[in-house]
Amino acid sequence: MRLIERIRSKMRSMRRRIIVAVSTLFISASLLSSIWIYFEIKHEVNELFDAELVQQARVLDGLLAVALAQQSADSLRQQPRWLKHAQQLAHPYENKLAFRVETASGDLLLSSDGIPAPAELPFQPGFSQFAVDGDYWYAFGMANAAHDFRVVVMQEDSFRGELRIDLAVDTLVPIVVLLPFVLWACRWLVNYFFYHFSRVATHLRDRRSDDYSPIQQLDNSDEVGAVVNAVNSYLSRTEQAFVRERRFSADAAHELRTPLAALKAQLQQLQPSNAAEGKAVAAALLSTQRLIDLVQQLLVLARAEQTQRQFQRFNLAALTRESLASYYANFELAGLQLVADVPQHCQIESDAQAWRLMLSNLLDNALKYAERDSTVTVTLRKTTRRGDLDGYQLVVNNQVDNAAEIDADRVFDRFYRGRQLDRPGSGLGMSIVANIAKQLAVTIEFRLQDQQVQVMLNG
Amino acid sequence: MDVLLVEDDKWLGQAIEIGLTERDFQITWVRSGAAAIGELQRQEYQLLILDLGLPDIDGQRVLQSVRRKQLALPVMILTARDETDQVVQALDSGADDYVTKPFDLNELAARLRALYRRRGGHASAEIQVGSLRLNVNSHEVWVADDPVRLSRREFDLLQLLVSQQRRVFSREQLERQLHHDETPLESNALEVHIHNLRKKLKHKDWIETIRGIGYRFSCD
Repeated sequence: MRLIERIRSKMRSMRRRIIVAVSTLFISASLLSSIWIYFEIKHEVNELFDAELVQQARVLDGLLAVALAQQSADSLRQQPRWLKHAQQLAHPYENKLAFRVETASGDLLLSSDGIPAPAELPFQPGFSQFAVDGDYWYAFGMANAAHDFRVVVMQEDSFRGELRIDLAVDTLVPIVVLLPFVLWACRWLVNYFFYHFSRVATHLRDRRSDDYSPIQQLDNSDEVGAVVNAVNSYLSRTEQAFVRERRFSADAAHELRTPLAALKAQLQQLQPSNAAEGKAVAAALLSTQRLIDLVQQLLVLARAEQTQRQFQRFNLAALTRESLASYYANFELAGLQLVADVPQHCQIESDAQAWRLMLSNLLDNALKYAERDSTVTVTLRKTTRRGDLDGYQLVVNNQVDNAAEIDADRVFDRFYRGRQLDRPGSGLGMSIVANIAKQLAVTIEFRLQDQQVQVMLNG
Repeated sequence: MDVLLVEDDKWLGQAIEIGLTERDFQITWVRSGAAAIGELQRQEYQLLILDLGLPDIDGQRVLQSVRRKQLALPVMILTARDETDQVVQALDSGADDYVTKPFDLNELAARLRALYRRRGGHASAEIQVGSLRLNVNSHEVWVADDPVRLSRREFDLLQLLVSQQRRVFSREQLERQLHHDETPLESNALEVHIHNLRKKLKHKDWIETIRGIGYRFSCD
């Protein structure tokens, strides 16, 4: 069963399937042609040797007719002993050929050694086949009515068989010798032609998720061209669908800004006449602000997904300090201590604008969800240097008072806010960070341990 | 202060009109670009609040028309378009400030007042923070009426820090302020200038070091 499974798994490759199919066809064709050649050879050899048998019989018949015209049959009867040459064969195949001369009544006149007597093997005119002691013989019988005698000439089958096999083997040897080379050539050609499909696969695998540019035509074959055209057409349609979807999000968020501005401004005009009204207006303003934040974040998310990233060298340490500086007062107002551990320089190649967005969302997140009167730590460490660029790890660490309510597996999901629904926020910030990190090939990790939340960016 | 408000949205226009009137602005509200151009030809205003997405003429074209005719009128752009290139385009076309929707009415009013002060020529050349006084034209500095002599770079640094009290500036933001000419900066130039400033101002606690980030000014 395991072998079958293994074969099945190997045969998932189209390349292997073609190689196996072509090899099987080649071997089957070679085998069939060998069988056909063998029977063709057998037929031709039989034709040739049958003609030779007839020829021998005619020569013997002619010679004996002359001899019997000059002497009596009795004088011929005295010759068999002379013809028995069993002592030493002149050729190894000599005993595979035989003849017999007999009278019309079946009396033996002359024969080669070992041939059955007329009583054991009766005369048959023309071609016949028979077995003697397990050996198979071909025979040709001819009667001479004028001189009252009959001639039988015979050939053992192995005499013909050896020739048949020799000829068949000689035909098969080149096929068998060439077979490995043909199989290797077949494999090489299949690999060569499939190489362009592999290149298409590599192109697609190595692409950034937001890259919808068409793949270049890799060769002039119809098959690869058809696949590339189909993929390019699909990429184009996917891009259009994404652009439409994101443009809709961006347009919708954009269009909501004016009515939201109107709503907020109208609410700010209200002058409550008592405490209950004041509370209601404050709640309405708070909800409006949340709606504004949500729309704003949706717009940021739509833009983050739409924007073509501009990669350039910059000092991530300086950019981190700038973001921290702009948030410092907000942290103070929220009763949080912001502690920074950032080196002087950290040269990276990435999109600075995208990093600003990631940092502001991470700091915003810490600001909203960190436990009051606690410390938020931002650490940037340089890791392995690659060429003239620094590897880095950026960690934002903050304390929370509700770790049990946070589902660490869902923090990067859109609109995930845990059970902290009474706190401001849209639940999109971390999703925006994760989205940008993916675009920038930065790995992001979220850890939650002992009331400590850690977001790590590694690159 | 006479303000022309150009906003096509009925509810937003109404809310701004009421809100700013309550904050001592005289508001004339129109809802189209053509009406705005007509109104500006008919009457003189001290400020213009202009929405960019107008139904008839684009706000940018209204702005260009204003700039062709009345160069001195301060213009505040009020729009839902907030992408950098749109902000840059509006400012390059002659806008003085830019507020994106949704906004806070108090912030809008404060920005309008600041804009009027700046463009009206009433902005003071002197900045006073506690006992510290700076004259941005003469580059003179006084602490409790005692003159303090500062180098040009020290003055620039102090002016930036004082311009937004309690705001933290990263060391790179401050270094950029020092690096306005081509003279290269030493690696510890910022620390040296901060040290000198603290010494000369005789109030070491005014410039606070925010560890790992930068500095800020406060003299509460």
